[in-house]
Amino acid sequence: MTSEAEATFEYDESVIGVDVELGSVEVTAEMIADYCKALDDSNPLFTDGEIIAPPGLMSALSFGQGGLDPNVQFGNTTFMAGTRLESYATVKPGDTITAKTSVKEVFAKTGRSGTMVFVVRRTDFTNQDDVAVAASEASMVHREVTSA
Amino acid sequence: MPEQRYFEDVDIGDEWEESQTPSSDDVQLFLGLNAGGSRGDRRGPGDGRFDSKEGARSLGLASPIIPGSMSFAMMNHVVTDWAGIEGVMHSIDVSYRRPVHHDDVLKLQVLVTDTTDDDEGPRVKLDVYMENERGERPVQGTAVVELPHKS
Repeated sequence: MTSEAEATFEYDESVIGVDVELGSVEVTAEMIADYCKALDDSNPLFTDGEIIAPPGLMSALSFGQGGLDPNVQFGNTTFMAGTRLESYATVKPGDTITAKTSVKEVFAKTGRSGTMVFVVRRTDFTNQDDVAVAASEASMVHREVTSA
Repeated sequence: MPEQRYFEDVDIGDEWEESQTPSSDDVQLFLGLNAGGSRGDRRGPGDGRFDSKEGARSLGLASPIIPGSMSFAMMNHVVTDWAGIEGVMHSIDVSYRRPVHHDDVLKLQVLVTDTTDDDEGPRVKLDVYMENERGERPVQGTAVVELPHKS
């Protein structure tokens, strides 16, 4: 498909809105400790006694694959543009988190630094009891850059 | 980390900040969080932007940068610190305006913009910013936190 707004990029429209399960990850105390160490986070909720996972851990987990690719034909690299996270329930060590994701939209925007193409993905996180614990929306921007 | 903050103590316009200087070791630790086993490797797009000068320069960057997910984690950190152990962060929404480089001296800032106490509970809306030593704000956004009442 070619964007009507810019007529300068193409992508695979068939992936929009298609849910893909990315897999499952068991959250461990070690994982939480490493996360807190990397961030110098000493909050006792996450470091002392019966700990819980920091909410931001959901966006840092890798589930081994990245979902469907809209195959945007634009630019020569990508950067993260934004992230929204909603937390619904506490995650503890031993919980198994399953992620399901879909490409929500693809659109172009032109500003002072030129045209950029955004890909927005929504990811829903559930635990082993199928309880929704969090949801995120992350946008990646495709753009053209030149070497420094 | 501050003492517990209560809803009654919060006023619109209140500000708070903490600092962070993410090192290359911190970045590597963050990227390796659950990279082992069969879970795959989350070391980024493979162009070296997170761990090599050459990789960064090929993308027009002066030096290696930290992953957006780590900037996001730092913004989560300042909000959960501000809320205290009895506070609950319901949502956070940030945009990445500029790259954040290894060893940047960062101020993570919180500004109270609204307070409500209704059926949803005692909630506080925050603006959140990351500011580097050059006075730039590479990351900014908003968050919603529920704070306890004083009993």
